[in-house]
Order: sequence, then C-alpha cells, then structure tokens
Amino acid sequence: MEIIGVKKVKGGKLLKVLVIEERGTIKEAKISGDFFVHPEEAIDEIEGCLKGADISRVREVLRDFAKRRTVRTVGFTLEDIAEIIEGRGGRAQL
Amino acid sequence: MEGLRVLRFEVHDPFYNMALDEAIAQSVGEGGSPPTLRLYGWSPRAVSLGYFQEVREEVDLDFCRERGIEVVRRITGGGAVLHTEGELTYSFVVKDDGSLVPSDIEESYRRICAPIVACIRRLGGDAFFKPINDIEVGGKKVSGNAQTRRFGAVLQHGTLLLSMDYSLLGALRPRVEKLKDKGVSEVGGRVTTLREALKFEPDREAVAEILAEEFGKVFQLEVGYGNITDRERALVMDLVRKYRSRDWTFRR
Repeated sequence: MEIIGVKKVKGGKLLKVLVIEERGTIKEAKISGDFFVHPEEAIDEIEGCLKGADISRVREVLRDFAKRRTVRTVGFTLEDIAEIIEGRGGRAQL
Repeated sequence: MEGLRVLRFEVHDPFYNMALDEAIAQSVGEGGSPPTLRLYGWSPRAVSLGYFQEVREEVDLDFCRERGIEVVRRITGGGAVLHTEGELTYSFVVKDDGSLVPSDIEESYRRICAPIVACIRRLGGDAFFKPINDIEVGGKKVSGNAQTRRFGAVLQHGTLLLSMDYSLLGALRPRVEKLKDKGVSEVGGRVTTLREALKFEPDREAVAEILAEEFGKVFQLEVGYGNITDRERALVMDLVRKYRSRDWTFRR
C-alpha cells in the first residue's frame, strides 16, 4: 500500500512523505519538499532508518534517530513526519 | 576591523555557480578564506531546486528543454527558483561559530537578509523581511534565500529580482497546495521585481555594489574586493562535475 501525505509547516513550506508499506513493513520511504533541515543528509538517513521498519513503530524510529543524531529542523519537528505517516497530518492530492 | 572579501559581480553557468558557492563554504570552514560575499548572475537561465525537492514535481522539463533552461539542484533546502538575467544573486559565507551570524537558524536568516532589506530601502523600495526566508515589497516576494550549515561554515545564498519575463515561469510547475493557501491563481502573482516596486529598473552591477556596502555595514566588516583562492578553484573543478551529474539532479 502506498501512503502519500503532506503537511504544511511553518512559513507555508510543504513536507511530503511517501511510504510504501507491505504487510506492516515499510519497503520504501521518501521525504521531499521545500523545507530546511540541517544537516540535509539527515533526511536521507531517516529514509534509510524507516526502510524495513514496522509501520506501527515509526514514531519510535524517529525518536531513536533524534537521540543519536543532532538534527535541526526549521519550522517543524520529526514528529510531523510520524504524524503524516500515521495519517494525521492531513492528506492532500498533489 | 575584520575584512569581508567581496567577489565582484560575474555571470556564470548554473553548475559553476552552485559549485563555487559550495567551494567557498568548504574553504571558509577550513579557515582558508575570510568571510565572503559573492555576487553573480546566471547564463544560461536555470531552475535551481531545493535539496529535498522532487524534480518532476517542481519543474516542467519539456518547457525547460525547449527554451534552453538548465536544471540544477542546490545543496540548500527551500523551493525551486527560476534564475534569469533579471536577477542578482548573492552568496554569503562565514564560519559557523556564532560570532558573525547567530547559531539560531531563523534568527540568522533575519540577520543575513538585513543588508538586502537595507539595499532595497536605499533604492526607494519599502522592503520587509518575511520569516522564514523571504523579503517582500508590497506583500509580494522580491527575494528568496536559502541556507546550509556544513564544513563548519554558514552558507546563505539568495536572489534579488530586478525584472522578470513572467512567460518563463512556465518552467516551474505551480503547486496547487501552496497557491490555494495564498489565494492566488498563478506563480507570478506571488512575486514582484524591483522594476515594478521602484518604477524603474536599477543597474544590476550598481545594485551589487550597494549590496556589498550594506553587508559591510550590517556585519561591521571592511569591504575589500578580492578573488577566489587556488584551493577554491581546485574544489570548483570537482564540484562542477557533481552539479552537472544526472545522479545529483534527479536524486529526488
């Protein structure tokens, strides 16, 4: 199943998350948009951490990541990514 | 007074432009170059994409191909920008040690945008900083800015729009979500130019010089026109290859 969610964060910026899920496991994760994160590579790393994770454990995966890596997000938090995947970020057709 | 190295206005291709901004950031981070303001233009025209953007979502690739508009991905986040001969672009690089630029990201945008606001005001435009990373005149965006922090440096680059051929905005795919929110029906409705705001179009190189003065004032640095170093030149050679590569441009 493909889950695409977007959330508008501070400054009108878009945070878009695409997740492909099969029997509860994330097969593919793609985070895109016009937001700012420092260091930028953290987003590539988060995609890597989500891949293979249990879809019900997204929030934990992001929390663990934030514990071992200093990530500065501008106008949103990593929790927003979890909310989008959990479907509470508001869905929109792009 | 510490010095601000200013790299005089030059027009380069999109890949060189992005490569040199990154090379300066590396060199400043290593301690090999002083605080630097670079002023530049783009030829051929290009769309620059934010680090996290999906190329096919943002760019009309057929439109760009037909008109010779290149596509380049930045190392900075933020949105897609169409760069034409009506734009003055700058990059500002300092060490990321909190001395010249606040470590807080949102505060630092305000600080680095201050000389641009001052420059537009000096020209007679009623400019305001619009958080997180824009400058507006009359409620419309005239300057967009994007920042990265890496190599121990802060790199912020951004645009100042002097004029715009709005027919070229077809290069950017309008995003339904964003437009709906702002209550406008087209990309062009959200942006303005100095030509429209001032009722005349100032000379690009003259604006570049004013901008350099204002950066010197805000950061209390003595402006000195200079050149790139051998180290930066060597870095650019390698980085141009990255920015030209399909892998980099189409990574999202």
